[in-house]
Amino acid sequence: MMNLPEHVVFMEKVQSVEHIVHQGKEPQRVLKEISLLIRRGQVWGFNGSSRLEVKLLLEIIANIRPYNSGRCVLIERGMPQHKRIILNHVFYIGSSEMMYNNMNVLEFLMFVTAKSKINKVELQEQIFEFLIDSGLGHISLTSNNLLTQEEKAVILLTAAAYSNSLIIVFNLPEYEFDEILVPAIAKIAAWISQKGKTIILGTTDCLLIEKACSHTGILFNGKIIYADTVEDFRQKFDKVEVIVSDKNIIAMMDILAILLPDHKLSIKNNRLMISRSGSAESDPGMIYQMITSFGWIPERLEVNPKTVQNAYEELIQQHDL
Amino acid sequence: MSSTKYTTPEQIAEMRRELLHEKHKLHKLQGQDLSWKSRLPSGKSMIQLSSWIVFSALVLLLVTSIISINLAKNRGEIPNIWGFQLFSVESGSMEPTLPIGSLIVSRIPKEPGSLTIGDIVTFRTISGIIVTHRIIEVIFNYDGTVAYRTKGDNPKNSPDPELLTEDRVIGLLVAKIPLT
Repeated sequence: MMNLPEHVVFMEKVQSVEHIVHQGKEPQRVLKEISLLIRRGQVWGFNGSSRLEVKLLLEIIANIRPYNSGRCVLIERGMPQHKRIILNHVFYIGSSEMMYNNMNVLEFLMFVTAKSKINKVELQEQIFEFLIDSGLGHISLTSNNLLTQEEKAVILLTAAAYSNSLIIVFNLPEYEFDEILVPAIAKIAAWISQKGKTIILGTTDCLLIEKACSHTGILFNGKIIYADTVEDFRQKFDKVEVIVSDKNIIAMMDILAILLPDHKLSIKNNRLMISRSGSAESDPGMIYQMITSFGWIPERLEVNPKTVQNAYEELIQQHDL
Repeated sequence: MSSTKYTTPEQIAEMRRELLHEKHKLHKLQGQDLSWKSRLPSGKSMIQLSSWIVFSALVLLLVTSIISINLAKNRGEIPNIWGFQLFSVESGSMEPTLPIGSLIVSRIPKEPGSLTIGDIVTFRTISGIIVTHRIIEVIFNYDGTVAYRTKGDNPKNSPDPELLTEDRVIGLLVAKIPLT
């Protein structure tokens, strides 16, 4: 493998040139004092309360948008503040309209990998099997003009995976990926990461972050309010321990409020969420025992698997207050 | 290209069969290659080898030329490389054939006594000046020696007053390099 630099993106107090105007208020910068460090081989997913903020941040990272102040270093090379060029080592996907419509998916991928030194028959087989393995077999020979924009975007990500670029910026927070495409992205991202490359996704889909990313960054009001591993994010902010489903959920909540005074109870989608309050650890087994000791068996009781979605909602709620 | 939106399992299976077939063909070809082709250097390495030989030859030629020119200059001789000499034309006596400023390549004649009319020769005059003119007449002397009457091509010129003897012939024109 090439001798790749360890620090891929380094940002220090970066402020955007763009401003946002709220009625009756002073114009504010869209991004304020962004500090970030992304290392080689990591898969980052950026989410936030505003798609504009996410999109803009990734554009600055890809060096296609100027920034007003601060310091930004890409692959250990300083990025000039005002000179905007797509660098060779960045594969930027900001739209899915980059695909040729007169080809099918496999033909397109063969076309973009034409420079590869691997034998064409073997390469074609490799790409074809990779598509099938990633769960994209159903579109592997489909004409590009029949694909949805999300499907096109995933094919472009596959093309990026086969490129020599060290950073892949997948900046499509406005796209909604379905349950077939999310695992496909996760698979491709894992392969990219294995090759020592870095992938940065802009998305508002928490599930995509959960499935595909090793790290996440959360933007709120132009600032990064969280930037660390996905695992840490889930454990730290998804405080729901147990989820209880039952017909008499409201009555149960009243009783449990007395039995579990150290816990926070809330109803969401007809399900009772039992969360720990504060930073104290709680034991789901103990909660279950307490419910059953009361002589009452709920229809369904499950230990919360800790999701990015819940963690995200909790974090945003904390900052919104 | 598929006319339906999704690729069917049948299409995938067909594609796999096609790829497998192509791979078999490829392996067959590679097997044949091993029999005789692989023993020869590939086209790319042949080109690299040839380029290297040409480059080395050019460098060698340049180095030997520089050494021989300097040695000849030190000895007060006219420098030559493998019998070829280079002169620059400084007067208009041979215009329009040899314009002022052009370079001429001459070679030392093997038999200076057998030059013919029309040959352009570089020679040393009795006073020691190097001149390039055309032979317009060959004169055979009674003692068996040969002399040449020379003249510049410029119509203004008249034939040179002194006859050229074979011992003063330096070179016979081979080519001209018009730099102006």
